[in-house]
Amino acid sequence: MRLFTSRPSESGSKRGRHRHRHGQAGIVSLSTLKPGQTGSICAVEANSKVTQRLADLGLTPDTSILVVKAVPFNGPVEVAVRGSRLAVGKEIAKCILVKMNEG
Amino acid sequence: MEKGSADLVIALAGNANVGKSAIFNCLTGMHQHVGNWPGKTVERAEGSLQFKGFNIEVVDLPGIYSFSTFSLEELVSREYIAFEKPDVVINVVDSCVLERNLFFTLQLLEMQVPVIIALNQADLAKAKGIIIDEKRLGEFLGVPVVPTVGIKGVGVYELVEHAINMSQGKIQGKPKEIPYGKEIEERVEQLEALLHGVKLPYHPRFAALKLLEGDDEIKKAVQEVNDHAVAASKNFAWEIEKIHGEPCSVVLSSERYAVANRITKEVQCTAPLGKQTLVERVDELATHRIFGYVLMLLIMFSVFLAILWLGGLASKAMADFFNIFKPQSMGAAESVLWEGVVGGFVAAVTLVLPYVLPFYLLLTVLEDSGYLPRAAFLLDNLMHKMGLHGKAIIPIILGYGCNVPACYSCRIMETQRDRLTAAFVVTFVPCTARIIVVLGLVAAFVNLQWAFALLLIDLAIVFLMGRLAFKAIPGESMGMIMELPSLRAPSKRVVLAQTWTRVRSILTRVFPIYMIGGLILALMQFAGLFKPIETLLAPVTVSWLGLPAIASVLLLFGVVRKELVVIMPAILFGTANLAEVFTPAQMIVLAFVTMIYVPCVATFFMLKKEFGWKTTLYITVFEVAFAVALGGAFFRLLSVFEIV
Repeated sequence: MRLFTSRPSESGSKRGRHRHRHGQAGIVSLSTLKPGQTGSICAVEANSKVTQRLADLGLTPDTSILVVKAVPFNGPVEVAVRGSRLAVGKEIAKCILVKMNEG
Repeated sequence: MEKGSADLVIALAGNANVGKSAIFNCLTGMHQHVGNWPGKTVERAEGSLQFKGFNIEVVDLPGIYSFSTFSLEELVSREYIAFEKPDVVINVVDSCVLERNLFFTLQLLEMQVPVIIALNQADLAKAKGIIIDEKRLGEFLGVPVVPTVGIKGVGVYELVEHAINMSQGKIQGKPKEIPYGKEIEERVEQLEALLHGVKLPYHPRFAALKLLEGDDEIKKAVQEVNDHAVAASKNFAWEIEKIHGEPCSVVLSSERYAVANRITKEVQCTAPLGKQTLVERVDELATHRIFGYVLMLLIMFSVFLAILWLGGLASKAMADFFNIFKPQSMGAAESVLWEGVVGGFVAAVTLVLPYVLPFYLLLTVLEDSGYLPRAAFLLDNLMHKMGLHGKAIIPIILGYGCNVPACYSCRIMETQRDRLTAAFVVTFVPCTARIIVVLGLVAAFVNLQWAFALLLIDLAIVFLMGRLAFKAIPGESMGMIMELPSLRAPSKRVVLAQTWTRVRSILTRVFPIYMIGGLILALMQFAGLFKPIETLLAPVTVSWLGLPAIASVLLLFGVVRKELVVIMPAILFGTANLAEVFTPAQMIVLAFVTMIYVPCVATFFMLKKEFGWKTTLYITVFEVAFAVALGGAFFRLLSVFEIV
């Protein structure tokens, strides 16, 4: 089955790829993105329950994410991920680190 | 339903909001039963149908996104499939969000059970310009795929046909295995070898993968027979984590999503639609930072007005109707029976049906249309102030109808702490019965402003109690992560069936309590216990709260049914003009105390069921003390300043 095999195998290039953390150029938390802006997920810095929940809903490393709406005054954000819409509370949005796309 | 009487057991599994309940309703019609999973606070819906001479039992599993053990729902679903081994699992998939749904499908296939895919909401997907090649999808997954439109019943016949054929071995589903990366496969293989010969209800590969994810339940099951495998899995998981720089469970999720993504790209083509559809425009408005709130207030306000108006009309009509049957002359014993059991029954019918039925109807419409998560999104900020998050607005809204289902619905919160906080807050939300008391006493005999003031004070109490619970209740809390399903026109069939199921389950729970409670009160009256009670409680009711002595009995009745507080004086004093019995200040205090003094008996038992005796008693004692303390202070404030 062709679909199931086109995956990079274990190699050094993958090592540490998601080690981007705060402070690196272009890496910001999801909560700072404005409606209409997109990015790609680098890491989730939260407890394992939140991380797992987000991963189950499709917020895994390298996934592209679009902020659709943001409720003012530290409110939640509405995001589009993998064709679905999710509401994410601000405190959780802050834990999601994304590499912002240009433009 | 009785086990073993069915020829075939079908389980429905899938994500939340995919139209699973529409298919369930279509399959089982009115033959359904909602209960609990044994020992778990998770709803279990099952039903039955006859198809070509087969007795088919259908179990609707809770909507979940994964088979990890994030929630009880996930655990219950997984254990049901593994332990009870349904003949066929129908995986309902939302065609509009194929990729996310396939993530769950892939895990289901890993369990190596007979699966049929229902590619649901095919019509909605088409309207969005999404076209899916179901044949190719079936080839990729190795199981049959049937396109369906649950709310219209399209494809459901084929679904059952396939299920029967599959259970008889006429069609074979050979779920494909998703190969993970080499570094994972090697370790899974070793774990599978370690698990060889270990009797587990799960497929060895599934168990091995779950061990790598660090799944507690499976770890526990394996630990008993082979703790070596558990130790090895910990090591392997750590190695994988080192390779990828992510926790092993996230790595596995990423890989599954990568496969889901590739399959989706292969089988789905999306034709971009130039213009926004009507639904999209409504959606835009529903979560708008200004108009969203305006729309929400409009919706809530009209729902409450509709319920109060409709409920008032229907309640009066039904009370008049039941009065026709009341015998004119009775002996003492018959009178006790009549007042107690029949009175309790009539009270339940005339209260519950007129108010709860329209409430559930409108609520189900809001729910089925996908609106409620949007309200939760908009109110997340406000709910945070009470230590909860947006989702908690759903039990609170429910609470305005009836506290009983509202406490029950606190199950949607993720952690035990959030469930308890939400339920505690809900018991302060004025249900229709309490609103009737406020309207019947204060609005009718004092003025409308005071009635509104009381409801506002109660709202403030709800808020303050949330903050208090936030400080007082220990445990972990979680922020909001919630799907916003596409808005859609609610389906008449689903709304009616769901309303009926809910009303029926409320009735079966509430009616016996009302009838027994009514009987006890009638017996007490017959035994002449009212006077001693009045004397006993006089220090509280008369001296502290400043109410007439009879208020003790009224408040006692109110435990069974809060609106009895306003109905009973009319009967006891033989006058409908309550102004002859109470001063305005007394009416305000009585209405206030009634609003918060104790969860009614039905709510009490619901709390007990969800949180146990201890917590329920704590809540009850606290609320009685709180109401009495505040009520007395309120009375002094009113009389000192001669406000009314």
